[in-house]
Amino acid sequence: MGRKELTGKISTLLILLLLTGAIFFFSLLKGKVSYTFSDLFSRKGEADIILLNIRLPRCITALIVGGILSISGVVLQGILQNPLAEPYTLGISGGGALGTTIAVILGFGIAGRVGLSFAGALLSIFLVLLLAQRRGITPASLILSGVIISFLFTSLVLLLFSLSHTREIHEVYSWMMGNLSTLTLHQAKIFFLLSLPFIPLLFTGRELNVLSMGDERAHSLGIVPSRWRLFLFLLTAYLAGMSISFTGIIGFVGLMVPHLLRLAWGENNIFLLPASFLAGGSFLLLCDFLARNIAYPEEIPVGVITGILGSIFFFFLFLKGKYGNIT
Amino acid sequence: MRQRLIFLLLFLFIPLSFLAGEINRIVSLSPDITKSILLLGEEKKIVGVTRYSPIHNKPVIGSILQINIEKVVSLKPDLILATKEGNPKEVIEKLRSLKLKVIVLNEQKSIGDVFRNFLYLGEILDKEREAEKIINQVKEKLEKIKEKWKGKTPIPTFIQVGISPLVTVGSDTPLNEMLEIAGGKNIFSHLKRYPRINPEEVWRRNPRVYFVVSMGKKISPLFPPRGVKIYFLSAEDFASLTPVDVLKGVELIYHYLWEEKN
Repeated sequence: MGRKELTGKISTLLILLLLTGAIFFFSLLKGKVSYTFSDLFSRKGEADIILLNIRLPRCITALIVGGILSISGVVLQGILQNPLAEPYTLGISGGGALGTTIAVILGFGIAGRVGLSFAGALLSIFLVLLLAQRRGITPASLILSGVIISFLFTSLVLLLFSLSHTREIHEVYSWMMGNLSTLTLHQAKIFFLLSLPFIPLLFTGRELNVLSMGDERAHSLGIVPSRWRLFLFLLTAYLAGMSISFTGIIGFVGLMVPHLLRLAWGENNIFLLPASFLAGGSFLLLCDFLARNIAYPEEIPVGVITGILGSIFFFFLFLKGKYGNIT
Repeated sequence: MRQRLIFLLLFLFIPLSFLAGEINRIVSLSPDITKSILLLGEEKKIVGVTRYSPIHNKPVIGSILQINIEKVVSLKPDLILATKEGNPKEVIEKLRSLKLKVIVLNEQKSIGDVFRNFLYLGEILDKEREAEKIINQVKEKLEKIKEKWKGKTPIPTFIQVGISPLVTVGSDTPLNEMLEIAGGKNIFSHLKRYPRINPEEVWRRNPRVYFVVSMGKKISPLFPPRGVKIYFLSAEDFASLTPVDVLKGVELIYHYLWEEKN
């Protein structure tokens, strides 16, 4: 890569960073009750509570979850060599849903729900690996195992639905549509700490590039593909599973953002990873802003917004004939 | 001509009276219907109930949403009582296609609806007088509660239903009306049914009392405004309402609004 290209990519990253920052503060300050930048530092009465306790946890989590889902998409599309791969391909959404359903039925509060949801996601990861490693940790076996485990857990969730109250079903169903509206500052802090492993993931671009070239090439460059696939898979699954425990299932971000950026940036994962993180974070921040303001004071599940915007995007992408990155 | 009219009228009335006389085996597909039948003193006629009914020695035919049709049929009911709100339409249609008599009660969106359904049940069971008596007693006591806070300003109140997402009650719900009778003002009464809302608006509207309605374990209120009084209500007391439940609920809410020195 020439110096010009490098400078170009770095400056675009910086612009993305600034843009993300702007969107973050826009989302934080604007709403039915709008604040100015200086309000952040003056701490008077109501400003305190709405900004700090309600919007800040929401915005921080949206930024990080959007980023995590996007880089998970990039990584999974790379290691599975499948452009339709995204964080939920490998069954964690089913596991998370089962955990949440059990927690709701048992009457647990938020802490219990997050905990059980994460446990469910971990269980599904474990089962997928158990199943896949019998045939070797290859893209095909991982995807197949993911589908099988996903079906299993979803069926269990539906079984539990058939035995529960309407209210319980509604709550789980809402979780499955994604929800950032009930996050407290305390939860956001915990989430932030638990999500820090995303940072090393941002720097695995080189290995990801090599893995996408096929196993033989990888060996010749000194990278053991199955081990790296396992490591990347585990890290991604942990991050995505942990995210959905806090926010429910937010779809499309992991699928759409990597494709959008590849159109603009090309396939190089070294830059695609940080760029996707920022773009995904910005996208989810905007979607959450819409989710909480479009029908104010009523809230729309954020997963619905990402789904609709994501579908529209893919529709135009398809129309424009930009198949190059999909097939 | 007049003879024909009389004959026609008799023809209409006789089947109805036979109906009341012939009902001995009732399957209830909803807890509120079961409770109402108990209130009207017809417990012995119940042969099947749903899972969370307050009655323990009768066969269970499933839950409101998951009804075991075979079980219902095996109990050989004369009458099956269902609700529009809770029971799935397909189940009701299937039961009717099996030549079983199913009467469906309308949704309860207000206290008036609760009374209407209860009266209708009374008619079906030939216990109209008892039903009217109970309703009038409840109405009287509700008026007395209204008198108690007369002249004072209704207290701005927020009702949280469920943990996540944040859901409250709007205007066409019995709970909203019960709150108003007890002297509270629902800060979201301009919305309808059970809207999912943005917590910012709760804070903006500054309620003085915050009710958390939960099933089973107590759940925490979400972002309660500073200085607000928080009280917990059990969902079981406010779902599946009979007129007596309405009265008990209003009394409880009144107590929390005006009598608790928190």
